[in-house]
Amino acid sequence: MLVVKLTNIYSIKFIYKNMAKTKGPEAGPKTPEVPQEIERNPFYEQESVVVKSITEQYAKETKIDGQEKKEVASFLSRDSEKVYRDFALVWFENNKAKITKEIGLIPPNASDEWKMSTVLGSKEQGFMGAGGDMNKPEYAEFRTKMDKIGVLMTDMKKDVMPPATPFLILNYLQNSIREKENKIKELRKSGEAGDARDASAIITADSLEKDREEMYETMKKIAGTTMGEDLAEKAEAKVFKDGFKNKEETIASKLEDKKSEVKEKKEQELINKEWEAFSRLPDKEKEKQCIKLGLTKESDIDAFRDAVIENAKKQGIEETALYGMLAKDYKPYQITSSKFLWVGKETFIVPGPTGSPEKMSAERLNNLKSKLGDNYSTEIDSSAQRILGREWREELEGKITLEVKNRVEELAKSPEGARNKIEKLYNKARERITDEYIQKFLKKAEKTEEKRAEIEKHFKEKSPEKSIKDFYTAAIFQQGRLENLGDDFGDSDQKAVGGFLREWGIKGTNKNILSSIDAGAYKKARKTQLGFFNLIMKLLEASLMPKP
Amino acid sequence: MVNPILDTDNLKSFIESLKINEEQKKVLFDELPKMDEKERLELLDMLKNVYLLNEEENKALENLKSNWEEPKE
Repeated sequence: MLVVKLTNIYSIKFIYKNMAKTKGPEAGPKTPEVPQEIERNPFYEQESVVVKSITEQYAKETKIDGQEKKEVASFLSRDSEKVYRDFALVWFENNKAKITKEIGLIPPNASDEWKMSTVLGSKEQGFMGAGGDMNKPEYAEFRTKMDKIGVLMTDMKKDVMPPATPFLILNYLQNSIREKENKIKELRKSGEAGDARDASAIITADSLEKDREEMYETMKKIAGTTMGEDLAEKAEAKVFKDGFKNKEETIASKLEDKKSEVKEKKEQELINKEWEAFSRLPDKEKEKQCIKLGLTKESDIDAFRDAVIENAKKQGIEETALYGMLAKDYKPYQITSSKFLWVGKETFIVPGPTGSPEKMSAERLNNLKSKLGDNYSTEIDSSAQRILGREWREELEGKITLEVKNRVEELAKSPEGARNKIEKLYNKARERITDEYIQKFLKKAEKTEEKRAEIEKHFKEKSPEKSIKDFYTAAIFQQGRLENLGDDFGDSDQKAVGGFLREWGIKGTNKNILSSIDAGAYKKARKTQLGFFNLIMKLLEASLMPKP
Repeated sequence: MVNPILDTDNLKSFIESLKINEEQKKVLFDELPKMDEKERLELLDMLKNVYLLNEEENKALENLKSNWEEPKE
């Protein structure tokens, strides 16, 4: 609470300080900045060095980086400016008579900036100096907002932020976004109403929209850092887990339909192109073509398409080849042929991409239509695959974006996620220091530190990829088999212990070593964790360093 | 004479009051009766750190609760 109060007093003083630099109705208050004098949270300052270092260590997991801090500080700064502005305007409306009495007549159509300067400017400079009235109950709404901003601004200046702060920032930004969304709706409505404020309402709405997007991007970064998650990666995994098919499956299941769609569109484009060229022909030429194609002057594009298909068919050109040829600027529906009796060969005149018709033998024409038909089919197929691939990616990205948004909002809207994460962090820290203590204590209880070092050395050689610290932990806290050993260290117990050691890369544990443990000593040793641990250590030593 | 704060029952109830996992508690309870005064002091030092972490956790959760604002519609 002390932090809150001091921060607010500081902010108000800061406004005064800026106000004092300028005078006159045009001099508005400057944007409040992040306070430079930071009130430290006494609890953190008083922690013991040990606990502080632990705090710092796990706080790294939730650390928001410098850039994110700057972004948050900038949002907070803008919001605090708005709070002061709103407060000043409300105070102005409530105190018109007082203003008139103390500083003279209020100009007609006084701007918001003039009102702010008048309300917040210091009395020494001839203004109302009403900033402190924010503490009065009737202005509690503004005061509460400034308190919240003040606390977060203070935390932004700390190297190690209190664990709850990243979540409180998410919560704050989420609410600020919601406020902006409501304001945007209001402004858009006013913009559409067609009154004189149209333009400014739309500009303000656009600017708020930009703020909202920036805030969301920052929230996304903070949520990821705070939870130690790659939000997009996690969202993608969830999308697939919820049944979203992979790319190959999706393409295979939709390919035939997409090919028909692409084919229909492409064919329509090719016919449109021919129809446009046909429509632009000079009248005489058009008449000639109409007769050739069996059309009339009034024929529409559908009749034209039918005629094109029909005429191509007469030359033995099926639809796929027809469209393949049209795609390469041949005009298969205008092909003519002639047969020279003395040679017996038929020659085809094929209007093509060069502008002047090409003479082709039947064989060449067959080759051409077969090649262009095949190319056309391949192109339709790959185009359909490309489109499906792109649609699949867009759908996936859309779903990921939505999942990420839901996750960010979930963290920002409910304190449950924050509570769980904070508890998890502290549990981890507690477990670590307790475990370190136990390891140290057990090591000391073993007494023979030198022997321990020797065992560790041999362990490292035999099992370089395993950590002896993990082995100790497993030996002490092993759940299951070792916990369920019998009282006499019989065959099945020896087998279980031998198996456990082998899992840790200790292969030298043979029957002799295991049976060397006296049943009585074993019974006594396993009564306590430490006794059992020492027993395991003896076996480990015998297995690693067998006596000659 | 062992400082009463370091006697087995006191230390046991201190351990019980802290958020320490059950496996770790079992090891500490097993070893506690055999510990000499110096070892008990070392244990107390570690428990003090766990206690401070408990306090700090409560403080963090309280901070979260008191500053959390229900989402606006």
